[in-house]
Amino acid sequence: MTNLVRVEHLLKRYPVRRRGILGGRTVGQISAVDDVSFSVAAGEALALVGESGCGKTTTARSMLHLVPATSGQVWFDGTEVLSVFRGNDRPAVLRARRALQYMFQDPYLSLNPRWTIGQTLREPFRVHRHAPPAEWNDRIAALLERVGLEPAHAWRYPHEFSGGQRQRVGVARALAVEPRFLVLDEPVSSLDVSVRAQILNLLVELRAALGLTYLYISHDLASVRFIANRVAVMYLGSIVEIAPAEILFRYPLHHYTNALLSAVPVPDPDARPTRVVLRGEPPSPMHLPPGCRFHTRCPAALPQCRTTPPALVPSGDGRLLACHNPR
Amino acid sequence: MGAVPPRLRPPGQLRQGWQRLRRNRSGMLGVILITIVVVVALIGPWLAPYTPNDQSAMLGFAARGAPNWAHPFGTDRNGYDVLTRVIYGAPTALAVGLGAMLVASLIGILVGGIAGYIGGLADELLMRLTEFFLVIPVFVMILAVVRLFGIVVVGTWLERVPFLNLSTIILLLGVFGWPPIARLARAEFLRLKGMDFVEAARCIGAEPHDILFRHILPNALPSLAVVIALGIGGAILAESMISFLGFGDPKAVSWGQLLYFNYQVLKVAPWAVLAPGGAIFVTVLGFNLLADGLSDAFNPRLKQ
Amino acid sequence: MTDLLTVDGLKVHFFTQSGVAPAVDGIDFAIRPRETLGLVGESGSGKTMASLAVLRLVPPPARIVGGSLRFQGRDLLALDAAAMRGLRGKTIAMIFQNPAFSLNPILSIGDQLGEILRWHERISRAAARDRAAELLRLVGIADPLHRLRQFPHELSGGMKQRICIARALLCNPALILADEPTTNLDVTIQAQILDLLEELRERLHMAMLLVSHDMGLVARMAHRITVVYAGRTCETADVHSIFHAPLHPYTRALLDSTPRVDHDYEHEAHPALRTIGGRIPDLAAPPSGCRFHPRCPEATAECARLRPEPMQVAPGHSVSCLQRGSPGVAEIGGRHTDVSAIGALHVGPPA
Repeated sequence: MTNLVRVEHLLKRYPVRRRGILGGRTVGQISAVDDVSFSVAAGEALALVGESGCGKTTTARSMLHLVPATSGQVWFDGTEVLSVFRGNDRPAVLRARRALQYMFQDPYLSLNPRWTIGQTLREPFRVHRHAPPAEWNDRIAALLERVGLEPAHAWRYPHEFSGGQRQRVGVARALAVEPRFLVLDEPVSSLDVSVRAQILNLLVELRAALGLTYLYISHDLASVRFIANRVAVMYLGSIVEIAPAEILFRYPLHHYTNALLSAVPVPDPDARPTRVVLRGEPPSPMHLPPGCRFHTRCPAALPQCRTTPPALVPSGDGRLLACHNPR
Repeated sequence: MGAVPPRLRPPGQLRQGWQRLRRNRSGMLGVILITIVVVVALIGPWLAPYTPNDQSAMLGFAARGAPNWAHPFGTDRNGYDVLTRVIYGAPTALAVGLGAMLVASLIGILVGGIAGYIGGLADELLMRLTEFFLVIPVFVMILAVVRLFGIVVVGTWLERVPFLNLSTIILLLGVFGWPPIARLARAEFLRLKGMDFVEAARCIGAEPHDILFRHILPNALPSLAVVIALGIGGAILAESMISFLGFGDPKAVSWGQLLYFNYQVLKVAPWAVLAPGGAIFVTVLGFNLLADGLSDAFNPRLKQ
Repeated sequence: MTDLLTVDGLKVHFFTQSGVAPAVDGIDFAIRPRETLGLVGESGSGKTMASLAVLRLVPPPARIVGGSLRFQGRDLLALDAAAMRGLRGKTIAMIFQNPAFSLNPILSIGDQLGEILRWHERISRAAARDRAAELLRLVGIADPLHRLRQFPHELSGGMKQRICIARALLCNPALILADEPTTNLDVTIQAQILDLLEELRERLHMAMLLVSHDMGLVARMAHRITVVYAGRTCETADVHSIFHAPLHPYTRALLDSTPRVDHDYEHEAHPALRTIGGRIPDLAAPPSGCRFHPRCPEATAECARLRPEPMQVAPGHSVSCLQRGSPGVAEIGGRHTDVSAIGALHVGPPA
């Protein structure tokens, strides 16, 4: 399996400023994404999980240059796309935008409220012109049906639809340009439980049918287990463990992964897994502890964890781990 | 794909907003009042019984006459027919209101939009500029400029430009009236810039001008419309005040000017003051109510 | 054991310009002392309204229009405003969903907690401060005196929720109403808060109504569970029966459609979750008969005509489903146009 997408040393820093009369001075910085590297194989679904502030959304947005990265490279099929996005070669930018698409979390904010669904779906065609205008209406109708809606819905406005239907439109919009790589940013977190399953099923089915590659971002580990082949766990801007889903869920080696998994409530009153409850709260991103960021809450911290940050290295079974004292 | 006939299509945002406005009583009252003023402005001059400069009443000692069949609103101090002058004042008022707000909107949306969208240093500088304009005493400035203009223009070719004075006032009202619009535009652009659907447009590959004009601006307009409607009323009021103080355009017929000519005979011929005063009141009220109604129509409150 | 709180046939309707929406149209549940009842449902199920109704805090334009609420033997709907105020925060306390919005941003923590204590117990400032500090310690906050001087924006989400819990416990309530208390918190913090709630409930002998949409959460925390859909009760049972032997089709569908973190999806060739087709009904125009029938795989023509009433199938287990043998009641028309708000039940804005 070849790697379709490769992220290398991605960095995103935000300066923390104190306001002045004209701009203010920088008093510190937050590394939302701190030297993150990983790759996604063609046809695979890689999940990026972590809690709020871990940098998973920023990573995904930086990959598609929706947020300008501070440094780092993103390789797609042999081309470094961040430099393309920053550059002036419009045809190249359009090619890159077609290949890498994004599906947003919030069904209520991700569609222009003043445009009909049809107008929203026509936009990708208008920008890219990858089909002659005469075909657009048919293509839009086909897209709507593909995601489980009806062609007549194209005449309606977003506020007339439910959250689940709007998310379907979001999928259709992303698929309109025939992408190969799709970032799914918490696509079902804002939906009702009974609707989530519909959208999750749809996403799984589309991946198989269209040969897509997914980067699935979520804090909901149950849906991650359902949809992902491999899982990368992030904490405070770095990846702490990446492994095939089966291995990660059954035998997590990093203590944070273990705590995360044991904290997920299971719909079974008799299940009482050995629960690890982390002490304390995550440190402030402006004042990160030295060494391993997790050591302040880790039940197995060693003296060296306080001084040396562990590197993300292979540790067998296709797993990468950043820990001095794994389970 | 079968096209759904337009009649069966569910109403769009604008239509829905209009439907909500229709249900809002004060908003509809505003629309009615404004419509009356507009109709008067458009066809009034054809239906007016006299010309505005007709002082024939003076000849028959009928100046300052009470309302009667020949002069439904009476005559004023100079023998003019009040009704005619009020009618001819309507297009002036509307020209002032709409003209001033057109200028103010263009400047305000440009300044606020750039500040909100680009941010950073441009934002800081433009906002300081906005605050500077807010601090200037608008009224005094306008009076000073009009007086200065009056002195400068005498004897030059400019004197023959029709309605120069009025146009200057309109321009100045616009030039000093943009800060509130800029502030709101900045807030709206800032808010909309970060919205997911704008990000999505960027992700599809839309370019900045696409995003600004097709995504952000249309979504900012409802809020801006409210402030603009209020501004129209405000501009009309401001021009009335300027004319009342005697700084208005002598060649234009304006309601404030009518007050200026006739306030001295308030006791003797009150109708000459009440009529234009009433006209100002009705017009400004109309725009204010419209603003209220628009505000409710585009942001329906949770009475629902 | 007599019930601490009994809710019977609760009806809460929204009165709007475009009509009446029956947000809660017959919810029943009962909580015994020192027990946790999980009230499970999705959006539009009426679960939050039901919990607000217990404290008679239903916001206008909604009003309680029917049913009975009995707490410690007293009829809550018959109490006057002053008596209700005496009950709120003292005997029945509430923890809300979003801690950021349920704390007053312009008052210090100490001021907010002290205000409650001095209102209910008429003690001095110093005594109130000490008691508040004691409670902050109880909920696991280190350095409580320092925290009392802080303001909500200086604290993290988890910390704020701990303070909200402390606030609920100030006057030793007998019943805590917790409305999605951990929804906005990270998973690891959620685990801490749930552990804390469980421990406190045990220690202080309280009962808890836990409102949630998360089946995993109620599996962990609740002794008994009531499942609600579109304003009506579907099924009530102890937690084991609900999860291992659910009877109502909606309960079953809810359990089946939730992905599980302990399930081996990796070994399935075509992993798919069992879904519930359709969507949650519009409250203003709910389906006739059984509210779930348009989406129910077992629905028959009867289900569209008759409204199922709760029926006890086993001790402590009741279900409202015609296909499980519940009796049905024919409904009067579709829209609730003849709702005459009974004078005694008019609650108005919370006192």
